[in-house]
Order: sequence, then C-alpha cells, then structure tokens
Amino acid sequence: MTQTEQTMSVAIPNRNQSARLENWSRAFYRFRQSWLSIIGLTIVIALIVIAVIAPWIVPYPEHVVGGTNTGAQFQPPSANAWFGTNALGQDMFSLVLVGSQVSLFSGMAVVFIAIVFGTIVGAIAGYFGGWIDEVLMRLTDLLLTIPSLILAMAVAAALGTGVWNMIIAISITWWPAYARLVRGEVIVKKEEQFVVAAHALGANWVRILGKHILPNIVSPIVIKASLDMGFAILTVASLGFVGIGVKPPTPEWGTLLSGARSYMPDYWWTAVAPGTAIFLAVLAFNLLGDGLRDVLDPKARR
Amino acid sequence: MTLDIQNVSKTFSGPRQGFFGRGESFSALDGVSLSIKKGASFGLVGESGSGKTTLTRCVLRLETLSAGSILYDGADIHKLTPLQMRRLRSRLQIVFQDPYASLDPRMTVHDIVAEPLVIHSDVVNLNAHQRTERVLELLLQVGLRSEHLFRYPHEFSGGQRQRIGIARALAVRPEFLILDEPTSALDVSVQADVLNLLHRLQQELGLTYFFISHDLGVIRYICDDVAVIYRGKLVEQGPVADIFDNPQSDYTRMLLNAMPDPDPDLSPFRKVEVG
Amino acid sequence: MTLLDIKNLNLAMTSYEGETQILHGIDLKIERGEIWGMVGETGSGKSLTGLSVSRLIPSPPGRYLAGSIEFQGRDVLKATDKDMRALRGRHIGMIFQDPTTNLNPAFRIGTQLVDVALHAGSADPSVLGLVKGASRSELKKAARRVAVDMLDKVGIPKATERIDDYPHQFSGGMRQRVLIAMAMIGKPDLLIADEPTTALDVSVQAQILRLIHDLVQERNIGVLLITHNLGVVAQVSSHVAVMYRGRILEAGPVGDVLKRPKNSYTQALLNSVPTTHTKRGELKGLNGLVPEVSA
Repeated sequence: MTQTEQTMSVAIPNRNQSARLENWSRAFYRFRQSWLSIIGLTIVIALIVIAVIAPWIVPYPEHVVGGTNTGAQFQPPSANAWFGTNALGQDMFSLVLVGSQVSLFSGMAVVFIAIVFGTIVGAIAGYFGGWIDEVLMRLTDLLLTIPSLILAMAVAAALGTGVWNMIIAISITWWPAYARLVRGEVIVKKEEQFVVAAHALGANWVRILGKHILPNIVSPIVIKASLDMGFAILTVASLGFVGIGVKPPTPEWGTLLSGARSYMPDYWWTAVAPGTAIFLAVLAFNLLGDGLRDVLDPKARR
Repeated sequence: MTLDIQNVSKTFSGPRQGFFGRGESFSALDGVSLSIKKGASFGLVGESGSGKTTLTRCVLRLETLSAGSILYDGADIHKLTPLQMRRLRSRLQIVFQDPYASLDPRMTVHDIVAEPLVIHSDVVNLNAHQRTERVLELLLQVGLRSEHLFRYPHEFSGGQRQRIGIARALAVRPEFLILDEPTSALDVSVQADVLNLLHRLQQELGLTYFFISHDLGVIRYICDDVAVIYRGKLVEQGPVADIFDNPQSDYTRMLLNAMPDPDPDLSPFRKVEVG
Repeated sequence: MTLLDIKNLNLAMTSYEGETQILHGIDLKIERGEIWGMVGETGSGKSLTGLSVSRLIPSPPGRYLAGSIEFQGRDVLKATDKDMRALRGRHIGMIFQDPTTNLNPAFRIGTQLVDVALHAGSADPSVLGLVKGASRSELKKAARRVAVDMLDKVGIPKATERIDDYPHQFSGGMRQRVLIAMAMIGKPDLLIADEPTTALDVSVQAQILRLIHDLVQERNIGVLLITHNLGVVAQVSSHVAVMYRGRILEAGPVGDVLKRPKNSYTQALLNSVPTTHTKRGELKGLNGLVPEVSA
C-alpha cells in the first residue's frame, strides 16, 4: 500500500528527551525567581545529605551509640564541641547530626505511607462516587475527628516502642488529609475533556485513573507533601518528646529535647541544639513547599 | 440506518431541596428522533442549552436515557454488555470541541494517538513498533510531520491540536465519527484548513459524520442533511439546501438572520448603498 | 480633538525565552462616533493593543520600546498611576472576553455596578447627575439610580428587581450586558471591547452588537472592537484594522477593507469564512500564505 510505503521512508525520530528537559528547565527558572525557595531547597538538600553521611562525619562517633564521658558533662559550646555537651558528656553536635537520621527519615516515611494509602482511598472514592465514596469518606472523617497527636500516641503505645511502630502510628493519622485532597482533585479531573475522551475511546477505570487522572494531580500532592514534611518531623519529635517511639541511646531530636528539659536554662545548649535543628528542618521544608507551589500551581502559571 | 435515534428523552433530576425534596427537574432532551445513513454527513445545529451536547453524550453512552433508544447498526447501544460496548467504541469515535482540553497534557502526541490502539489491542493486534508506524501514518494523514511525534500538546497551536484529536479518533479505523464543534475554538483560517481536511478524510476513508455546530456556515459547507435542535426538541430536519434556503420554523429563520456575514453591505445596521 | 491616537506603538514582552517584540509600529486613530473593528487571529497582538490603551499591561513583563497612545491629547504611556485610575472606568470603559470570569460571583451585580458608578461619580459627580460637593449618601443614592437605569438601557428586563441578583442567576448573554452596563456607567468617551460576543450564542450576539451600535449613536462615543470574527466586524464597525503578528496590515472604512482588500492576507481571511452560500471545496484557508509585511 502506497501509504505504508510512504511512511516507511519517513524516519521515526528518537523519543525526544529534550522536550521533557525543557519543561524541567522552565520550571526551575520559575522556581529560581524566589530566593527564599532556593534557600529552602538548599537547606533541605543539605539536611538530607547530612542525614545520610552523618555516622561517618560526626566528630565523636562513640557518643552516638551510647558512649559517655561524664567528666566532660555540661561543657558550653567550644571548639571541641560545637554545640556543647549534655549531662552524659556526649557531644551535642554529634547527637544532633545522627539524630537527623531518625527524625528526617521517619518524617519522610510517614509522608510517603500517607500519600500511598491516602491516594488509593481518595482516588477510588472520588472516581466511583456513590456509596463507595460515602463509606470511604466517613471512615476518613472518623480518623480526622480524633486529634492526631493523641491518636498517634495511643497507637504507638499499643504497638510498643521502636521506630517503625511510631511511623505506622503517625501514618494512620496522616493519610486522611491526603485522601480528602486526592478525592477532591479526582472529582474535578474526572470531568475534564481529555478524561471524557479516554472514556469515549473505550478505556476502563484502571487506565483512566492510573494513566490520565493521577499523573495530572501530582502537583497538589507534591506541594502538600513538602509542606507536610516539616510537620511530620515535628510530630516525630513530639512523640519522641513524650517518650514514645525511639528509645535512647538512639538519638532523635525530640528525645534530645525532652532530655534537656530539666537542665534549662542553665545548660541552654542542650535544648537549643536539637530545637534549632527541628526549627531549621521545618522552615526549610516550608520554604521549599511554598516555592514548589508557586511553580506547580496552575493558577500561578501562565 | 447506521445510527438510529428513536424518540430519545433525557431528564436531569433537580437539585436537592431540604432533606428529602427535589427541585424542578430539567428536561434536556424531549422526544428527539433522527437517522443517519452510512456514508452521510449529518449536521446538528443548536445553540448553548439546546441539548446537543447531552445528545452526543447519550450516543456515546456517557449518560443514560430517560426514554427512547439509540440503535447502531440495529443494536441498542444502551443494552450492550461492557465488552460489546468497548467493541462498539472502536467503530464509533468522537472529535471534541476544545483542542486545549481534549488532549492529556502529560502524554506525548505519540502516546495520545496510540492510546486507542492499546485499548483495543485485541481487535487491532499490533506490536509496539507497528503501533508507532500506524501513529506516524495517521499524523501524516492529518497534515502533521514526523518530528511532532514525541512532543507534548502544549507545544502545538489550536489547529494542530485539533488535528491530533482527529488522528486519535481515526486510529482504530472507525466507521462513524461524531464531531462536536471541532472548529469552533479555532481561528478562521485554521478552521478552513481543518474543514477541508475533514472533507478529504471523509472521501478517502468512507466515514459517516455526525457534525454538531452552532455555525450555520460550517454546517452548510460540510453537511448534506441537517437537524435543528432548540431546547431539547428537534425543530426541523432535512437536506441542507432545503433547510437553509427554505426554513420552515421561526427559530431556523432567526438563526439564519442572526448569522453575521462578512459582507458589510448586508449589515442590518446599514442601509445598502444605493447606486 | 482625536479621541484616541496611537502612534508608532512598539511593545515587547519578556518571558522564559527572553524578550520578544510583540507590537511593531501600530498606528491607529479613533474619532468619536467611529466603531473600529480590530481583526486578527491568535497572536496578532490585538488584545495587547487594547490593553495598552488602558495601560493594563504590567511593566515587567511588558516594555514599550517606542511610540505613544494619546487619549484626548494626553499620552497614556507617560501618565501616572493616579491619572490612569481616573481615566479607567470614567473616560475609558473596558469589556473583556469571558463574562463568567469577569463578574465577581460573590457580590450582587448591583453592588458591583454601584461600585463602578461611585468611583466615577466621586471624581466627577456630573456623571451621576449631581453637582460638586454632593454628600456621600447622595452619591450612593444617585449611583444606585444610575445603575438601574443602565441595566434597563442594556436590555435587562425588570431591572429594579434584578439589580439585586447574583451573577450566577443570569445567563451568558445577560451577564455580558451587565458587563457592558458596567463599562458604560461612568459615561466613558471610549469603549474598548475585547471579543465581547465570542462566548455567546449567535442570536444573543446580534442583540449585543445592536446594543453597542445604539450606544454609539446616542452618546457619540468611540469604540475599539477587538475580535477574530470577520462577520461581527462587517456588521457593526465603521472602520476596520487588520492585524497580523503585531502589525496592522491594512486599515480604513469597513466597506473599503472588506470589499476591496488591498492586502492578500485580508483577502485570504475573507476566503476562509464559510457563509451559508459557500459551496463545498471553495473554502481556501491561508494556504501557506505569509503576508507581505512592509518593513
């Protein structure tokens, strides 16, 4: 057939990666416009890098695994110990650095689990509507009515100590918000013409949700996730503060802060060090989230 | 008859009032009947709120019917099993109005046009490489080029996007094409090109068109028969020349009069220059 | 005095790709009583020209490279923000394209109309039929009265009752009339309408065009009607300017330009419009035509 012969002679171009690349560089250009967002991004990257390599760069690795040096207790910040030492003579700087591992990664794990679970529930509720929607949303509402911290504490107390139990406990309180968000977005996207087009082409609901709707609602989820990250870290720290979750000697910002309570204000560095770390992490993620929202929010675009 | 719409009515129930009541229901379609023969070019003229969009949604079974039936090749569309419905969708396709909203912004042109081939792989049976070739064939057929293959919709103009939509609709070689205001969102010169393309494709591929528009000039240009719909009811139907030259209903007459003609002498605000 | 005199307007806009020149040497004169249709396709720069007259293009990303826009003798591009605020609404009325998004859905249309009327009236009470030094409450009462009159004039039935309705209670055509009322309530001298009928049904469009035509007859205002619809321009304008890629290719009385076009692009545009008499196969489109643009 002449038509096919004609197409045979036309070269099929390589899957063009440069279009994707251009999209990214445009997005970064917009992101760059706000210096606060750049600061946020830098701090976040720095924190993550530090958390990953912490055990190898701390000046006093023995302190983070329980080693003590009671002779050097309560030293103020000095050249030897940048953040001073605590009641056991352990270097605060090392503790805070390694503590970032638990705090940051727990926070991220919580957000990740919440996104996965919340998206599934929200997408199904939003797409199918009807009684499925009602049942799922009442379940979500139920969890939302219970104060999250209390619920997390209750679940963690029931499950026992340990990082993973704490993460599960917090995730249970975190996913409903994502379910709500995703449900709302799915309900809107469901009516968009390209989704109707897919339906008219004969696509089934799995394809429509998975290939058309979800990829197009990534933005609000990413924005919420980055803003949430700060609060997830805070919640992990709060649980640690109350004594739930990680047990010493594993350092974690919340437990460090809790341990420093009784020594305020004389030995202020024992509290200020982990406190500043928490503050910095939450601030950085917030700035990053704001920056991402400015870039990804379609109303701010074009 | 390829498409037979028999006495179709569609009512939307009103909004909830109080705890148990319902407001007034809204009748979008009321006893609409029309038949489209194989190979025909049938136009539906209506303004906003006339029910034309609801009618297309009913034909595509995106809405249920309150009364009446729609038959395609003798089979009642609304009584088909899911599998039969999917098969039908490979024979009955649609081109949408808004070229900016009808393409998934996150998919490349290639994937957009290949999607029907993937969905109907049991009928179409092509491997990935063959699919790409078919996509290329379609793009060339609608006047695009091979370098457009892996670009994203936002990189194209309205007219080009509409061509992509047409290529997508033609991918599984349908017999029947519903065109829902395919050129209304386009610039005038682009509209002319797309209309000519549609006309050419119909001849080349032997398609049946159900062309919906509010623009009488466009309908006249591309359709042989036309039905006029107003507030959910068909006001008149017949061959295009008859309806346009000799309209029977006041509404059609009003539409014809209201259409702005690019000839300034025909403006109702000006008296024609004498001499 | 010429109502609007645009001389050699050159505008550039900055985006991700850098700065591109959008308008090249636009020259246009509008006198009172004239309806100028500015016709062009997407990207021709017609909307930006209209927005420039009210200086509604923010200064990044827009930058005027050269030229002037004289409204009643004063260059708008050199005016202060305060001057511009006095001009907008009072001397220059603007209608934008989409009536759904241009009315605030949270407020009654009466509130929005009175808002505009008061803005015009505080600067110049004669707009509301009062003398200088009128009190605030007098201004408010007069503004409301003028609002009802205006609604009536644009053809909204039962204006006194409907003035307290919300935008969503009106149909598209009615909303566009409300927008026209809002644009006209300050008794402007110049009306800029950007695609005022594109989103409307053909029957409603005819009524809106008649409304604009009547307003010009009564008040002797000047109108800049921006559209891509040649039919609309042919029906209601007295003069036409054809735009392509930021340049005016030809301009003049509507009969001259549309019946005896000098530029092949104009002719091609006219050839692209299917009327009820066009035979199949006759529609030409641009056919790859790139208009000759005189440097």
